[in-house]
Amino acid sequence: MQTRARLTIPILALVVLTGCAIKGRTPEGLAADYGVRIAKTVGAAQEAVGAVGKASTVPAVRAGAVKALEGLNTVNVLGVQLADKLDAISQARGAGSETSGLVQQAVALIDQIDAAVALGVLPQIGDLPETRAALEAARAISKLILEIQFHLGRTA
Amino acid sequence: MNPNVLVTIQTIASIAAEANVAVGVVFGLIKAVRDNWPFNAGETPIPDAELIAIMRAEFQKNSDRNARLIAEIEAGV
Repeated sequence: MQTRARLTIPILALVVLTGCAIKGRTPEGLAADYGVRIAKTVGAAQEAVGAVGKASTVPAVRAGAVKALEGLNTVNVLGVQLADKLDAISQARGAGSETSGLVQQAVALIDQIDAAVALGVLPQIGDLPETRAALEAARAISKLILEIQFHLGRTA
Repeated sequence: MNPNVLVTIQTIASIAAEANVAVGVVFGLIKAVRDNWPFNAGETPIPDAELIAIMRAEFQKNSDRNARLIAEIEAGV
């Protein structure tokens, strides 16, 4: 009896986990999940860069902070476009239409976000003092981009 | 103390600990089933459309905040 009770819980857990794995989210849902995390991380990076820029009296540092913020805003603009694209993919999937073209466009947007972080944000943040938090946030964005590429790439 | 009493206390404590773990596991399973049951209507905890809308709103909020931050730095606030 006790053995049966001890076996029941792991078996139930296995059934539920298998069910979750079978169901999962759609690739665009997973991408949006990571998109929200990227947006929040961008927000944190902005705050950190903004704080450094506002606190500094050195013109070069303030200019660097503005450049980094401009780079981050490119990420925001592309992020909104990516959300629209994911919405289009979701609707097309719901209607049973072809999604591969839209997915390719979304992947291209993600590549642009990655480039904006690597070229427009990281160098600027790296030049600033006391920007560890912003730098870590920007690196975290790059890691999240890898995840989003992985999940969205499943449908490409 | 009588060794039998000690053994009884240990047994009760052991059963209580196992029961505690079992209750935690059962509640966890109930939550997992409620949130992820694969054979029901197919609803996820947050629907994709809602998640996408949250994503868009977060980036838009960032954009607005970003513009304010740039203005504050340039104005020397």
